[in-house]
Amino acid sequence: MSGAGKRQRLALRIAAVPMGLLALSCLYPIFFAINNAFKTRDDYMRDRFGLATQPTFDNFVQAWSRAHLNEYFLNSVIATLGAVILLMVVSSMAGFALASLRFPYRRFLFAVILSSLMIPVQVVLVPFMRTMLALNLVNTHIGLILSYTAFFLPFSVYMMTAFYSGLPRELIEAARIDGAKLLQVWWHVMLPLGMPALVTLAILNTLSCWNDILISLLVMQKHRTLMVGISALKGQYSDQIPLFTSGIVIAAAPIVVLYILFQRRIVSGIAVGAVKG
Amino acid sequence: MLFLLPAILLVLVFRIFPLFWGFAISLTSATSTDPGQFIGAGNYLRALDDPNFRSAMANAVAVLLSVPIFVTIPMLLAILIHQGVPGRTFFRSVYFFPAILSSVIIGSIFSVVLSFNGNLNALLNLAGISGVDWLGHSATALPVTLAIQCWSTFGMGVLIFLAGLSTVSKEMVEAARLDGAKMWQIWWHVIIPELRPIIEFSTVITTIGLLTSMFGLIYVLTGGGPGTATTVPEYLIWAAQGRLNRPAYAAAVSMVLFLMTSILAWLQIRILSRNANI
Amino acid sequence: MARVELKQVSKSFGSTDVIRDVSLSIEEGEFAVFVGPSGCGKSTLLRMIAGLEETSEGEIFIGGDDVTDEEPADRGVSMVFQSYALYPHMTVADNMSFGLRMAHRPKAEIKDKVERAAKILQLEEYLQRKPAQLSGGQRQRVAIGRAIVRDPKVFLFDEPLSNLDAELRVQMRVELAKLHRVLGNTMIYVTHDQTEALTMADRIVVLRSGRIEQIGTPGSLYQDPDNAFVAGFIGSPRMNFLTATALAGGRLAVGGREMDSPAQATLEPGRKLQLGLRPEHLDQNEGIDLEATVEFVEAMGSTSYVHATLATGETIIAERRSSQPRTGDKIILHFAPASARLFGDDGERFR
Repeated sequence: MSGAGKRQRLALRIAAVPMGLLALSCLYPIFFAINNAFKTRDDYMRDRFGLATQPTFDNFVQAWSRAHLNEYFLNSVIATLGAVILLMVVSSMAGFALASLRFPYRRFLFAVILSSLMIPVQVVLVPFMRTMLALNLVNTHIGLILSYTAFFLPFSVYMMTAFYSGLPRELIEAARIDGAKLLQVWWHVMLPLGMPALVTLAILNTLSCWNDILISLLVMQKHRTLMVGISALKGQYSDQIPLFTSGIVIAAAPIVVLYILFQRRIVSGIAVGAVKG
Repeated sequence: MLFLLPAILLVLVFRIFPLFWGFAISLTSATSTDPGQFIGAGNYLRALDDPNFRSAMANAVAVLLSVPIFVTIPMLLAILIHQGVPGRTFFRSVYFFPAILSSVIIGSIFSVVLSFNGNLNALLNLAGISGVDWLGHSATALPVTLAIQCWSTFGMGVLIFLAGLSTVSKEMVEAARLDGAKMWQIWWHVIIPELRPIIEFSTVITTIGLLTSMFGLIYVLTGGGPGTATTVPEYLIWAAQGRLNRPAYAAAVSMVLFLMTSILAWLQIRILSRNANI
Repeated sequence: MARVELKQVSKSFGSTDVIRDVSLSIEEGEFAVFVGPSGCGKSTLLRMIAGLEETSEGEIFIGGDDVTDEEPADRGVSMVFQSYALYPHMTVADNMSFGLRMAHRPKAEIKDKVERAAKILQLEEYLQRKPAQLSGGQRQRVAIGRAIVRDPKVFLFDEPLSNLDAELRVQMRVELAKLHRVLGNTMIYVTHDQTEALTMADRIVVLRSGRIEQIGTPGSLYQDPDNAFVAGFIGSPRMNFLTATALAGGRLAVGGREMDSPAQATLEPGRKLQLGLRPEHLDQNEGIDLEATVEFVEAMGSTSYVHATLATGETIIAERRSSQPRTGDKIILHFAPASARLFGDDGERFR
C-alpha cells in the first residue's frame, strides 16, 4: 500500500524479521534433503549439519536402480500424465456443456458433480476398493488414472464452467452458423479457447496426482508409485539417511521444477479457484 | 447431454454410488472375503465402545480446535505482505513452496529431522538441552504433526488471503487513514471485515483439509502412533479396512467422517456456486 | 440470393411473448433493416431467421424452402454479430475459412474464396494476423469477410456497427451499402439507430413489443408514418407532438390557434388529438404561427435546433437555418398545415 506512515513502515520492517526466518524455514527442508543426498554415509555421520564438501552421485544411482525408484518413477509418470490429460478432456467437455449449452437438469447435474466434493476417498474407502476389484482395475495403470480423474474432477469442472461462462455466446453461435457440429465446436473453438484455464488446471492436477499417496496406496499395491515407494524406503533405509534423502530429491524434483517454471500460473490458478470475481 | 456423460459417469461410479454402497456395507458384518450379515447399527454401537474410535474422535476434536491458528497465521502474514513488508515478493513465492510438496516428502524429511537422533535434537544437545522423542512421545506427537501440517499449508492460506486482499479497495483504506485511523484500527475496522468472505472460505477448506488430507503426513511420520496418539478418523478408516481387516467397521467410521465433512462441504459448495454464477 | 418470407411467426420465452404473429417478406436482393427500441424483438426475429432461436409458431421460408426446423448451417445464411465473434485463436484467414473447412471443401476453393473476400474488404495484408492484432474496423471487416466466403443466400447483421466509434460507423455504413451493391445479396440488418436505418435500407421494418408497426421505404416512413410511434421513432430530432382538439367543419384547435385539419377524415368535435410537426417544418415564413419562448439553443453549425416553450406550456423543437435566436427571446414559429401529421390520442394516424 502506498504512502504508508513512518511508524507503519517501522512496524513493517520489524515484522520482516520473523517473516524472513519463516521464509528460511520453508527452504530448509529441501536444502536439508539436497545437501545430505550428496554426502556419503560416513560424511553424514561425521558432520550432519555441514555442507557436502565432496559431492557424490552414488546415492542417486543406488536409489534410482537398487531401490527401484526408476520403476516407481515410471509408474508415477504414466498415472499422472494419463490422469492430467483425461482430466483436461473430461472437464473441458463438461464445462462446455454446463456453461454454453441449454439442456434439462443442467443446474442439477452441475450440483451433482460439485456435491461429490463432499465425498473424499476416505469416506468411500471400502466400497471404492470393492468397485475397483469388481471392475478389475486394481494394480492397473488405467485404474489409477480413472481414480485420479474421478477424485480430482469436480474442481476442474468447476473451473472450466466458470471460465467458459465468461466467453461470449456469440462465438458458439457463429460456429454453428459456420456449420460446425457440436463436437467440432468443442474441438475447434472451445478446446483451444480454454487453453489458458486448461494449462493452469493441468499444472495443478499434476501436483495433486504426483503428490498423492492414499489413492495410489489403495489401487497400486503391486506397482508402487513414487510416493508409495518413498514411504516404504523410509522404513528400509532409516540408517542410510543420504540414500533416503536422495530418493526424496528424486521424488520432489519434478514438482520443484514445475513450480519454478510455472510459479505465477500455479499461484494465480489457486487464487482464482479460491475467490473468483 | 453427451458432453457431460464422462464426468457424470466417473463421479457416479467412483464416488456417489460407492457412498450408498458404503452405507449398506456399514450395516453388515462383512470382512474382505465374506459378505457377512445385516447387523443394523451394530458397527456404530461397537465404535462407541472402541478405544481406537474414541481416541480418533478426541484427536479430531483437538485438530478442529487448532483451526483458528491455521486461519489466523496466514491472514496476518497476507495482510503484512499486502501492506508492503520489505521483501514481500520473496516471501510470497517462498511461503508457497512447502504447499506444493507432497505430504510424503515433507513427512519423510521431518521424520529424519525430528527423530530421536535427528538434527533437531542434535542441535538441542549442542545447546545443552536434552532431546525429546518428538514423534515417539504421545504428548508431543499430535501437536508436532499439526505444526508440520500448519507449516506445510500456510502458504496456500497466504495465497488465498492475498487474492482476497486484492479486492479490498485502496480508496477505502486511504479514506480511513484520512479519517485519522491508526494502522491497527484500519486492520481491525476496515480490512478484516472486508475479508469476511475469505475468512469463511478459508475456514471451511482448512477444516476439510485437516479432516481429509492429513493421511499422508501421518502415514509417513507416525503411522497413527505412538499408540493411537495421532490416529485421526481418516487414518482409522484406512487401518480398519486394511491392517485390521474390518471393512464393515471401516465403512461405519467412514459414515461418521462423511457426516462431519458433508456439513463443511455443503458450506464450501454454497460459497463456490455463489461465485461461479451459472 | 433469395427471398425471405415469414408467415405468422411467433416466439415466446416461457410465458412472455417476444415476437407476436409477424408476417413479412423480404425480396430477393433487398436490403431490409429491422429497427426499433431495445427490447422490441428485432434481434430475436433476426436470430429466428438465422435458426439460433427456435420458432414457437409460424413458418420461415428462405428461397422458397421451409427452413423453420432447419439447423442454422443448413439455411444458407451467414451472420455478422455485434461483438464480431471472431475466433481469437485463429488467424484472419482461418477465421474466414472456418465454415468452408467445416464443410470439407477443397483447399483450392477455400483459398480462392478467402482471397476474393479479402480483396473486396481490403484485408489482404492482414490474413495471417490474429484478431487481437487488428483495429475495431478491421475486425468488423473480418466478420463480414467470414460471412462473404460462405456465399450465403442471405446476410444477417446484428447491430454490427454499434461497437465502433462515430466516425468509423459512418464510414462502415457507406462500405456496407457499397458491398450490398457489389454482391447484390439479400441482406437483413438489425439496428436501434434510426439514422442507420434511413441511410442504408431499401425497406425498413419498424418493430415494437414484438409486433411490426410499419414496413416501408425510408421515404415513406418519414413522410407518411402509420402511427405516432413510427413518426416519433423515425427522424432526428424527434417529431413534436402538440395536443389538438377537433372542431366542427374540419378545423382543429392547437397551441391557441385554429387551423384546417391536415387529414380528410371527419372527426367529431371535441375529440382529443395529437398534431405531429417535424422540427424542419417549423422554419417557414408563413402559415400557422405559434408564439414561443426560447429555452435553449443547440447550435449544430449550419443549422441550429431551438428548444422552446409555447404559451400552452408545451415544449417544442424547431430547426433554424438562418437566424439564431437567444435564450429568453420570443419567436414566432410558422408551419404549413399540409406538413403536419394528425394522430389520435391512441397514436392512430388520420390521413
